[in-house]
Amino acid sequence: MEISKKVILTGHFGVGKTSLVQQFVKQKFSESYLTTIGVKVDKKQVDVDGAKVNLILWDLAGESSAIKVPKSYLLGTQGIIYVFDVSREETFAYLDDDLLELKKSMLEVPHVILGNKSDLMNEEDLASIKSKVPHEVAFTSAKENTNVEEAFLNLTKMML
Amino acid sequence: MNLNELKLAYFKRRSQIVVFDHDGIVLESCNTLSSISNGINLFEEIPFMQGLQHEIAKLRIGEPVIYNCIHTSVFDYQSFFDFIIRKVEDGDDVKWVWLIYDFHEQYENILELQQQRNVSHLQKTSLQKVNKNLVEEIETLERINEGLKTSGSSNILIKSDNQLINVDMKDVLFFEAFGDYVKIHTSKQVHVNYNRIKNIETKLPEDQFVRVHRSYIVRIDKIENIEQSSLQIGDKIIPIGQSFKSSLLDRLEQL
Ligand SMILES: Nc1nc2c(ncn2[C@@H]2O[C@H](COP(=O)(O)OP(=O)(O)OP(=O)(O)O)[C@@H](O)[C@H]2O)c(=O)[nH]1
Ligand SMILES: [Mg+2]
Repeated sequence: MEISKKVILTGHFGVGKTSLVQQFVKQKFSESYLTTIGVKVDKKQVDVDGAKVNLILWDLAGESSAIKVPKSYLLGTQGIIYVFDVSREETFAYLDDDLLELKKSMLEVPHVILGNKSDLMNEEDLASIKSKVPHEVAFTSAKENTNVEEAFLNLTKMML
Repeated sequence: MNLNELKLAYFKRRSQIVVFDHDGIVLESCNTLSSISNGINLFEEIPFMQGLQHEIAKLRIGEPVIYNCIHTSVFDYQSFFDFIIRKVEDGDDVKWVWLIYDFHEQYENILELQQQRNVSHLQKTSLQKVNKNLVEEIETLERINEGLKTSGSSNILIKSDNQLINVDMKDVLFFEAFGDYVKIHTSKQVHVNYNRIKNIETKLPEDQFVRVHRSYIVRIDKIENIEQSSLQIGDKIIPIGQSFKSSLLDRLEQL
């Protein structure tokens, strides 16, 4: 049986949302930055515990401060991936407010928080970020393909 | 062609109307942008539509849901679209109408503007970060140097080529301004330090060094000879600035 799940990716601009999708869907990475406007919709089928799940990935344009997502984009969302950039503190300083805002617009849906660009930091810095962010965070690197597939599969399992 | 037709001509070429039923099955399509056959299931074939089935079913009659700036493909047609989905009554039946507008050109322009905004913001924050690190380093060095000065040491710590170097003031021949940097010429080598010559001047023991030019501070006991408008240290001729001349002569007289 096939199931479809709509997932949105959100977070500040330049944190690597599009790069994570690109790595996950096409196993590609590009150093150059091309911003997303509106939303880019992509699809990838995954196999989780014997179930075929079509992940419909809504890769949203990032904001510079608080996350403002048009209501219609959120309709039918079943999972959220919130991405920040471990090398830019401004992208996780207001994580709490952003999450609250998202929760207000949607009923509680499963979410994962990803600290991306882990390749730019050492273990010590990552541990210090973990202690600063009062949520469960998984570190990823779209560049080096570290923990990317795991993060998407983890969310898929939470949605099933 | 009347004015209204003329106005709408652009949209006719750039838009498409698709009518579908509760299960997402296509009943009709005008196929201007993408060829969609009747009987196709949109909830299975169009990524954008997947996952939206329940939300679309819940719409009230006539109430539209509007999606701006969706970058995706409708079958083999990839572009930036605006979508409007509306539930309509057709006799006893209800149907859904999906309006597709292709706004590729318009959104490409917005993309360019947003790209410029984001890139300049990222450059600004990364420069601020570099600057903050440099300022912190300078402050630390100044604290250490202040300590050395009060302990009577003749050494100074400077950062050059990412290394901390302990320079003995007795070895210094002269300092030379070089853009945002200062070159420290010693008898053995030249160090380059991110600093301002004005800042260096305040740190040096007054009885040993003198400013002779906007860009030069020299160690007094290394001066070999002085002419009208220059002096010599080793084989280097250093200019004497007009405004620094009298203070230099005063200092030499005191010796
Ligand atoms: N070093 C490193 N760079 C990355 C990584 N992921 C993304 N980048 C770079 O970061 C920049 C921004 O990446 P995007 O994926 O476009 O960021 P985004 O979050 O989609 O940005 P918006 O669409 O503007 O919201 C690009 O130059 C990428 O090459 C990573 O894991 N490590
Ligand atoms: Mg993007």
